[in-house]
Amino acid sequence: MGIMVRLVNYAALIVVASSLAWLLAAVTLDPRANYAGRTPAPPVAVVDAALSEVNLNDHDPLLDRYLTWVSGLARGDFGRTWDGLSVGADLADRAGVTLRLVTAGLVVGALLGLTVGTLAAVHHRRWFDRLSGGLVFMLLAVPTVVLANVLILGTVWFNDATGARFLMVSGETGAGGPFDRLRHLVLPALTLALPLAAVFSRYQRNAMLDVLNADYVRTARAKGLPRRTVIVRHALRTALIPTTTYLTFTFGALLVGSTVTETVFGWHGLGQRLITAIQTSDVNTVAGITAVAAVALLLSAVAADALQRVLNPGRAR
Amino acid sequence: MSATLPTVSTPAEAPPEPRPRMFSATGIAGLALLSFLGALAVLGPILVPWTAADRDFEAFLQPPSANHPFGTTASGGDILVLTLLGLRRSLLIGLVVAVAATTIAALVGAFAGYFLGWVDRTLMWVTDLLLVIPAFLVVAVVSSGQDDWIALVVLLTAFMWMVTAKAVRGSTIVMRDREYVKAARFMGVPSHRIVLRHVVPNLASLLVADATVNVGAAILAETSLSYFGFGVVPPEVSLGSLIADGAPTALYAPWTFWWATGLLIALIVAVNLVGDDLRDRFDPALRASR
Amino acid sequence: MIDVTDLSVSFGTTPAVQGLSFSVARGEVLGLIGESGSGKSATALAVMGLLPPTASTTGSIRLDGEELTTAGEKRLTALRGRAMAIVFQDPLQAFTPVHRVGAQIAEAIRAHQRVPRKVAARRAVELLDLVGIRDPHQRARSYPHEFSGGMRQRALIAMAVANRPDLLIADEPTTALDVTVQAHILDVLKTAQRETGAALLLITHDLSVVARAADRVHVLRGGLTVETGTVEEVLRAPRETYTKTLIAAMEAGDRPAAARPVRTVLEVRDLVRHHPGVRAVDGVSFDLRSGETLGLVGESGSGKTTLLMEIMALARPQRGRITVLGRDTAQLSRRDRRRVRRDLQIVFQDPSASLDPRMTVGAIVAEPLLTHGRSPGRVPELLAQVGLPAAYAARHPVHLSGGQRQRVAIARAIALDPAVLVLDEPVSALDPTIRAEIVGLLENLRAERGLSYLFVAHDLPLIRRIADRVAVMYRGRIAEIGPAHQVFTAPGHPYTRALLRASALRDDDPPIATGCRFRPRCPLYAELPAAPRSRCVTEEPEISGDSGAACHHHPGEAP
Repeated sequence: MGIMVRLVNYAALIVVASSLAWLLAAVTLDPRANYAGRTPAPPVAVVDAALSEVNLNDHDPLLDRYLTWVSGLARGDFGRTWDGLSVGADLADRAGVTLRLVTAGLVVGALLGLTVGTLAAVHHRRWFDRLSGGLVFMLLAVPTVVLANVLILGTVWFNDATGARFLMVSGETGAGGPFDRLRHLVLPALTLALPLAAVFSRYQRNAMLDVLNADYVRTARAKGLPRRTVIVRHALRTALIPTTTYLTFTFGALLVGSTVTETVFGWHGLGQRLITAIQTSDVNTVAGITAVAAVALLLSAVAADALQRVLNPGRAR
Repeated sequence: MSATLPTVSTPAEAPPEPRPRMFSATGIAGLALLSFLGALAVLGPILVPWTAADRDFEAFLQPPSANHPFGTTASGGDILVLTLLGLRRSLLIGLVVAVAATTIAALVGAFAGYFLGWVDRTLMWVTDLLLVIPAFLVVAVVSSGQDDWIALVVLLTAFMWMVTAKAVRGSTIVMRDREYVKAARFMGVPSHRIVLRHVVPNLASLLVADATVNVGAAILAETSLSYFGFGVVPPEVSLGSLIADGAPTALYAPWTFWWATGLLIALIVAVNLVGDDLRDRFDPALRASR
Repeated sequence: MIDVTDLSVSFGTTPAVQGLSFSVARGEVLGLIGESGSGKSATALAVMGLLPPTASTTGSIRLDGEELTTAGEKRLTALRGRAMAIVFQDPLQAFTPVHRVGAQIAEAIRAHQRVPRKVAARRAVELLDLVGIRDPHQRARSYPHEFSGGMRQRALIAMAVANRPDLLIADEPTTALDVTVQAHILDVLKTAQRETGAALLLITHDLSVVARAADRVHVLRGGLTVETGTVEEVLRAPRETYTKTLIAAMEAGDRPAAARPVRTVLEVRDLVRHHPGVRAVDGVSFDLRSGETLGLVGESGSGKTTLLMEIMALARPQRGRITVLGRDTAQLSRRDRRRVRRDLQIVFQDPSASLDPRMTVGAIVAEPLLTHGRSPGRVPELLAQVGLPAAYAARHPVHLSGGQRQRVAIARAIALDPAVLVLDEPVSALDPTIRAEIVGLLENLRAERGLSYLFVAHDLPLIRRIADRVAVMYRGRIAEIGPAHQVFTAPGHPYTRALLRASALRDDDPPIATGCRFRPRCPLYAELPAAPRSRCVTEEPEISGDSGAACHHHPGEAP
């Protein structure tokens, strides 16, 4: 497919995906509920006006509201939240928070996963393979909620027992400064990284096992290269090709996929916003997040492609 | 026409030994654990003297005792029966979603990969679209305020088949050039029958393995949704909703959290062990194309 | 140089090699020949110390007096590539796909010699030059998949001799290649061996390779040695039946020449099939008459398979015309096409790929019957016709041997009583002894049922034995066509002559846009004076009539 055709196709996917999300949210969610509990109850006309102001009034025709939203989108305006804030600005803020978390989690997870997976394949069916395999199976079975809570419980226990206050269990930053940020980052990043490492290590192990039996690895040994060189320069180098594609896609998917982690650790990122947006029936935010997610995923597809070109100049696979 | 072929010698080669298809030790362990949990889910709730609706007004948030082997909740519910019912519901959700999602994946992937052209472009565009939409968000939006677990199953299914469908499509494109598929085509077998009779059955190992993995994935997805109150809602319980309910009291009343968590982890470990074992039996060609 | 005594290798409880002893002296070539499963590759890996950990070895392997079976991994690493080197089969897989060819050769040099990167790179280019790679500077910077099969194989040889090893092992070095390229590779291998003075252990299943390149030969079967001696002795007076079978398969007897039958069952006229960037079939014409066998030969990439697939598709070709039993495929309705399919069936090369592994033999043979609304009751009779017991109907293909699977594929192909069978290398995936059985079966079926065969093969003696007529394809066109006897005894095209003599031709010339496409490789063109040459450059030679050669300068052609 030509590059232009692909970009047009991607743009169409983004527009259709966010439109679907908008329509689904507009039909299902009920922004009026935000005013329901108030005392004294505001007059219907006032609520209508307030909702119409932000294009959330369910008494206005759906098509009109949709067209208003789409024309805004065409100008790069994602609309407003129910209490009148700009969705675009809010999401831009939060994207930064999520990006920090996801980058840290992914880097740690990838390094850990690739190392463990490679070693497990090289020591196929020996103790390291079995032990790491067992750990990976446990990790894969633990829901994120449980993992996050276990990490918190462990840290609280550790802090209580030693009196140390190194790791923080809630929020993104306290007093400020890079060290403080790091103290807050460790636990949520680990919550993301550990399951990722588990998945990556499985992938990497399988990719390495495929490659270790390849003829060219035998050729490399036959020319008298030491084992380590054979593994690193011939096997690992080739096995990275499929694994990096998977890694890149994960990055795109994680941008709104760290919902649980952000919520448990009180990080105000995109994932956490997704939950509050549904709870407050913020149709525009729901659609906005969908658009961001779609863009992230498609950007990661482009990045995966570019990486393939770099890693596989032979284009032989 | 008679069979008069005296010159045809009987084949001189010895036919190869049939390859045994036994489960590995870990696979057997997984299968045993899974059967045990399945039996527990089916029979357990019948054998326990309490029901989900019962409240023991003499025991609020009590640790395990003879009367309540798993302890009680803050409202006096028996955690044993709740956990067993949760296991039943989670297992059911996992199985139904996995089978349904894998079936859709097999059909979409195989038809797209076999026919290519506009059929492929259309099906793959829809697949990409569903991949691009954050599944969690849509399921949460639609199921918030719903209390029907069947709707949840449908929604989870709708967002769980795409990756497998792409894998199936990839394998089908490879298989389409296999000679036995060509042979069927040159024999005049209609295309849809080739897909259903030759392509899909030969992807069975990939599909079974993927379905198994999807059981775990569906259960975990339901757990996350339940944590935010979007999944299974009272009076129904699932392991996910029990974990969500128990998380706040985990520190001082561990029995509200750990029974459900432990069973969930055991369940998913069992399913993954079986799935991994099945995956190991893959045709290497299929795995390479994934 | 290398002394192997009483070597046994087994994988688990399965013995692969049993009590093998041989030795090769410096400068000598020993051919190790046997079918698949005869233990020849396991022997090569045992010498190199590259057997998988599941294998157990007994006996002794001495290289230059040094015992290898007890040597440590460190010592073996030092010896591999320097004292002993190996050229593997399947050169596509033998290079790491992500590194440049030159870099991989330089890496082999630097594994054993302390030389700067630049010096190793320069040496790699010289080695590529030694094995006859054109433009070696440029080519050293290419990736493996940018090489042709023959070039990759030569590059592998270059890599193997990079450190002037004492022992060179070549494991099926020519198997995946075409006849003329095979000859070239063997020449290169001999040159490389002569340059380095190494002992050469040549492992192959192909007797002609041994005949061409080896001094002595060692015949293996089922892990045991069945015969050994000098090549002349063994070829002239083989003692074992197995060796006799191998030799018989190499010899060609002609079919008696007969007048051509009248009825045409398959007619192809000016057929064209271009893929993007490849003119796979570029104007092919021939006809096949009732009861006749047309042998189709040509190197890989000559368009044979595309041609067969075009015929089998029964669709409107890009250009040209295909007529099956008098019906133009471009005019067929859906229903007619299905009807014509009954008369045109195919048998593929690899029976393990052409039978659906999930179906039983019975279901496989019944499928064409059921598809065309006939009763599957004939299945036992069909199995009997191909020499299989009826009880086999309940088996799955994995539980059959290669030859038995091919019998099933043939039973399926004849189930609808077709008039024409297309046979795409039907025996080349089989071992020589089984090959003879299947060829016999095909011959009988043809005689009994009056079938017409379009028979594709690269085994020239086989084609000569069974074909009435032969067509030689080259780069999408027919270079020569005619009665088998004529083509084999008085070939008109220089390419046919090269094929028959197994002359060495290189496979790295660029495709030609105008004029004769064989020109860059043509030995005749190379010797022509300038004036007659111009015709080869400007004008594409054509064949007129149903026999002839597409060459402006062959003896039968007016100058």
